[in-house]
Amino acid sequence: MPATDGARSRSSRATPVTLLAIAGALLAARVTLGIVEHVRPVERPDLVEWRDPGAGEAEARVHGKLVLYCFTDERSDPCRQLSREVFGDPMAATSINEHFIPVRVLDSKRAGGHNPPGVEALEARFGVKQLPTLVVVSPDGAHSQIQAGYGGALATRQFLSQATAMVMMPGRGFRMRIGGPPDSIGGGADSTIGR
Amino acid sequence: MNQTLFAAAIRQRAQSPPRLALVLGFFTLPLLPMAFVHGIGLLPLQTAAAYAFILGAGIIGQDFSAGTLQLLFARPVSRGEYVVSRWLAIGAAVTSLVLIQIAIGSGLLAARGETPPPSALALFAGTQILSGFGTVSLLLLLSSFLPGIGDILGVIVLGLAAQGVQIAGSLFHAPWVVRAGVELSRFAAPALDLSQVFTGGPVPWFDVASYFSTVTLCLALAIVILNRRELSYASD
Repeated sequence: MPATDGARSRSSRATPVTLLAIAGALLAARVTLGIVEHVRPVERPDLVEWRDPGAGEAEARVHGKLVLYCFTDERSDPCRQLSREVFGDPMAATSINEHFIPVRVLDSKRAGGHNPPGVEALEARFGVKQLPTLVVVSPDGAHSQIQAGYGGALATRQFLSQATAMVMMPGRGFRMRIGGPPDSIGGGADSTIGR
Repeated sequence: MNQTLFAAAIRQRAQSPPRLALVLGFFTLPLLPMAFVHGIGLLPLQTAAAYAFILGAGIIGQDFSAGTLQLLFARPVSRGEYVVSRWLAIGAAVTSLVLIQIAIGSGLLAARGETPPPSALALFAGTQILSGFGTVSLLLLLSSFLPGIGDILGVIVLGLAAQGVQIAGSLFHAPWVVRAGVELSRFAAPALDLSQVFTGGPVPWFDVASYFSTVTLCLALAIVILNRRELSYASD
């Protein structure tokens, strides 16, 4: 019977040639696009309505809204990536503008300059050791959530949602670190829960 | 795909009480803030990766350690068919959970007059489904050579390695090393944010290629690795 013979002759360990070819083609496309985007990044305008630290904190107290601090340096690649992928995304930017009072804190120390005392004080208050760092603070300033480093748009959106939920539940708090030295914030390479 | 293997994989996961308890926790807990916190939206429902870890842990490794594969491959079943059926089964289970949870979450939001627009709902659901299938793909690859639920340990090690490479790159001011770490972390958490693809701005083709490259590479390598594994009928 030819059908049975055919089934018997078919190897149970057949190499997935088509799948390997597709995977190889996609890998080649990935590397090529990665190089192209590195050389010529796709720029997206920042759509978040940023405030200065003083004005933002006062506005948050008046309206009872959460403050989202973004400690950033425009010359740093991860900071530009965060701006492009999250703050340049219309849906994410709308959500941030609706739910937070966004405050941008420009750090110029890492580029060889000096930070104003206000920036130094804010960095000391939240233990900022890496850029970019996002901090979500309750309107009264009692609870804060920190994400150090940039782990991608999805991880950042997840952090913002978790931070919103955690800050809104009094007595809770956690610090999340992405891509930074394990001992600088929170004592772990991942995320820790505490105050 | 083999329908029998597909159904068996789902049945196997559904008969594990620890997995069911964890799934129940991740199903109900994110819905709580949605019922009480004003303006929180769908954001707490980013649970696809968690479901994938819970249902996908030991996706091949457990069968290997339990001796199931030795019996299974004595039958006319190809190893590729087995891998793809497992991947689709766990992916489909994660997708079902995600869709049911989003439906309930949307109901809760609608009851408070905060109904999300259908387009946002679709993009959110799509992103979660891709995240689920992506995570299952990675587990599949790691599980093809790690015993038991060693794939979970593999993901943790991969994530820590990615962070370590990024830290080393930062310390030594080597942007390419940092980039390698970022790519490693992208591989360790395959996901594609559909809202960035479909919201009118420039399409992030690199992200699209990265996601599908990771998924296909994981699937293909899992089949190749399993093809090369020798199954012993004796154990120590």
